[in-house]
Amino acid sequence: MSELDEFKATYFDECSELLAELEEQFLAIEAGDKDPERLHAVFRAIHSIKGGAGAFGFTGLVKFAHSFETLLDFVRDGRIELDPKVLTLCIRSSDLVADFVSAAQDGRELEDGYGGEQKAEFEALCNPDGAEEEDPEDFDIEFTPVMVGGADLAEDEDVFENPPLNLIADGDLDAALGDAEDDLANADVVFAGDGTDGAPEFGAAADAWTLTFTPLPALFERANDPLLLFRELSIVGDSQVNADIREIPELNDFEPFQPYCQWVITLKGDDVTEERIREVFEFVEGDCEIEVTPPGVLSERQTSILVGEIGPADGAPAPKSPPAPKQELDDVVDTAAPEASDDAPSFADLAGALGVDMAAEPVPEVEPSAEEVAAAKAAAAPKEEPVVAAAPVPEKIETPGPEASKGPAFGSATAKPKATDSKPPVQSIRVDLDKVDRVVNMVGELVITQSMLTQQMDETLRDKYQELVRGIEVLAQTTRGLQDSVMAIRAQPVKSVFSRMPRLVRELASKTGKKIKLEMVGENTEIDKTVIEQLSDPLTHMIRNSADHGIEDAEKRASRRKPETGTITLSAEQAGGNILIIVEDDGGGINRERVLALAKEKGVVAPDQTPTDEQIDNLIFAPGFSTVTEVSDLSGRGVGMDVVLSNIKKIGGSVHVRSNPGRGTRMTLRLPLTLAVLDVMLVSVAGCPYVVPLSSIVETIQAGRAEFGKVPSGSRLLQIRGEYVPVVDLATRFAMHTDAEEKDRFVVLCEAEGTNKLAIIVDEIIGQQQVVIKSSEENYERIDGIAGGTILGDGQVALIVDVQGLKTSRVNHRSSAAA
Amino acid sequence: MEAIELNENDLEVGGANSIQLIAFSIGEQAYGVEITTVREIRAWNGATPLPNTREFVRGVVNLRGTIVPIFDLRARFGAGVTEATKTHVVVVLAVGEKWIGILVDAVSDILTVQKSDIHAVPEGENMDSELLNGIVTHDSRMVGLIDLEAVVGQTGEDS
Repeated sequence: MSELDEFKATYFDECSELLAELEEQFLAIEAGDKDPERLHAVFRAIHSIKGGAGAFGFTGLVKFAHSFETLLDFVRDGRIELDPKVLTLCIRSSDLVADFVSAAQDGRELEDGYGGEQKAEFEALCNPDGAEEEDPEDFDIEFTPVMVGGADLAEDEDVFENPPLNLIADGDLDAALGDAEDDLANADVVFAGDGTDGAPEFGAAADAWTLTFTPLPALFERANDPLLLFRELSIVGDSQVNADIREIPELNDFEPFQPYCQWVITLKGDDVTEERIREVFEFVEGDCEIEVTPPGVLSERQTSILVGEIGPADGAPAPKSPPAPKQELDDVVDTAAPEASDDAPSFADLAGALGVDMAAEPVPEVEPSAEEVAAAKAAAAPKEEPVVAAAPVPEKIETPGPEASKGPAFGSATAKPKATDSKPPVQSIRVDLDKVDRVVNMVGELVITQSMLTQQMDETLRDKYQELVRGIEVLAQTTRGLQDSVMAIRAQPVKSVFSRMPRLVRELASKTGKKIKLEMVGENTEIDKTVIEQLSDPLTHMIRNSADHGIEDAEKRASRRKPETGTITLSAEQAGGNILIIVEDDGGGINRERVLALAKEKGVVAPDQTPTDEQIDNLIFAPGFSTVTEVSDLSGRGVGMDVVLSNIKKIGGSVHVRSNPGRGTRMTLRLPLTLAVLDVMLVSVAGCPYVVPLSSIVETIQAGRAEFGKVPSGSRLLQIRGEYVPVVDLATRFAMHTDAEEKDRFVVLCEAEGTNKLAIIVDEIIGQQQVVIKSSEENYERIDGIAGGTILGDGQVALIVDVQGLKTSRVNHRSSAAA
Repeated sequence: MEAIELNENDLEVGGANSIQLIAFSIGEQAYGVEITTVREIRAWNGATPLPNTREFVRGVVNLRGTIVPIFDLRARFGAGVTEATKTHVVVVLAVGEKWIGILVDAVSDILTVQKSDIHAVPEGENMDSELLNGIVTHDSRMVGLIDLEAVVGQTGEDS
């Protein structure tokens, strides 16, 4: 994969996240949430999509996203009211953005003018007078290159009414500053920005965020333009951009692709957060160095860019900073070692002088008298820096701690990182799923090994090696904990797949002409990521089925006295070791007569069979089954619901449908919480190990004590507590020969979700344990009656009995025999 | 190990016009598979039988955490199920995306053969042309080239 492809892949990953976000936000807005942050989130999402699209040259997407963005901008500003009509347009448009994205991803071209209708609507809304569309370049921040220290400029306050860019050029500055007090005053005006009194303007201001932006050569190589980023920033808050152009060489030495400038930007605004600032730089992450400090804090680098190189005389801004008494400033300026060649000294001095809160955290080594704290502040310098700067100060520190002993001045330096690096912004990391899977696999093996060790612990060993036993018990606990934690890493809220459904329902509603609303419950329920990935198709089919076959048309609904709008409820909840996903509609329910007739016609059910209502309902999952005679565009190709069943089975789940004629249908997916580990009962049949999932076992009975009856077909029924349960002898079923005597064998009574009970006869019950599920299909093929394999402690493979599969294929057997 | 090093030399000598085979025997007859498909050679150590499969599927084994099916080549050729012992050998192969094992009597040799020396399987028995890709002669012995796809195919009950 080329580098560009990798970027593209990442971009599309992000797009799908952003699109889901869009969906979610619009849904909340639609539901009446008036929080403006939602609209901002929408705006940001569209904007990010547009940004990346521009980088990869997806012109159609850029254009569409841009006009959409313009509309959103108007809505955000309140110039357009977000009434239902506009909201519908927005939702439809975000669907179109998704189309554009997927087209770009597949390398397809959408036809010219795709989304043109919406675009026209945007324009009509934004420019009701038909005025020219706002050019995207119009929101350029105005760039007024201001030479720092130019006395004429400094005196002209007007320049600073809107002074977004200051250039720092040390030559000029030096000249301007000189030694004279009045020049200092001039200089301070330069830094004072729009003249908010008392606050040192460059970032130490209490209300402004400060960020340093230092491009690396890669930034330009990837054709990023800092100007665009500054523009973005100006949307986030009121920005003031200061450029440090001192590094720009003579023209002779100028390399066009080298970044020579760096910038310090201050941002003011109520909703400026570090996150929002970082977002702006999302696309250039890694191609530049960015440092963001919250209001009231200045990092060394920021200060050094603003004033650093200029030397001791740069105490200039001090008059504007009330916390630093004039006297102290003078001291600092005087005492700063003139031979100090690096930035640190002047920075440290300045920091102290300016009262920049470098030592926000109290430093234990320093006696907390005001004088000393001030001194410590003056001495605040990063650990790595040489001692030079602090030389005048140490006698004021009475109790140098261990830190300070390295160099007395650093007693307070320890506080510095805390002040600037406070609250690391990283809350999540992107990890390749493969890496997590590797850990999951290893933990799985660990679980096996641990359960094997536990098995080896017989009574004699227990008495003899108590310490060992205790160790193994601890190991068991730790392994459990480890397993849970690893599983938690893989767990994701079902929201990520649920959020695709509203769009589907909207599409379905518009295609079928029915009024349908989708209600979602429990979107935050978490399931294993692999399960989630497998959920999308089944859910789509189930919802299509509900919309297409379940919900009746308006006329019929009226005649049944139902509300005009049909409701599909999609819910997720945890039930024990399972997750239940339920799709419920208030439609017409399953037409059992037709289902049965069709099933007989297609040979799914033998003509003479009379299945129960429940069995009929579940026939809709049979392969090749579809009740709608004419094939609709949406569902009814006869491949829908059996896909649901096979997908769900693949991930170890089960499907159950319950229908109430005239009232609605409820389809329940029961899914395992995790795919990796399963609690099982280990049994043997004809000397071969099999495992039965513990979750489906009701009880076990000795065959000798069980009551059996025979039915005409020759198969047996287990009579238990007044119930008759069909019996499957695994030895017969799996065509294996067993020598075990009937009375010594065991009956395992099973019940999978929503299906009737089934009694399985095995030779021997060996015990319970946890196993890691392995696919048998990966290298082989699907085996009838087997849900997969697992590896036992001794390395042997045991097969997992597919309880539901045993039943369904048994029914099939019978029906195909009869047919 | 020595054998493998030898191979690499051979490879250089052989170039694009030749292929290397792992030769193994079933009874008296030698067969071969292309060396690039071979993943591992291990001794027979039993397998967990699968229900309702044909007799030549001996079952599945655990290969470092993955489940790999084992095909009994003798049984596949219709010569009866191999009475496997510890001296029998399982050759683990990659067939497309899947890994499978074939149970053979013994692995005998690594051969380098010219592509031009591969003969087509003569018309006749269906099974021969179905299961063999070609025939090569090595030291005046006949070596049948196994068509792995064909061996793996048609494992179901009703086929």
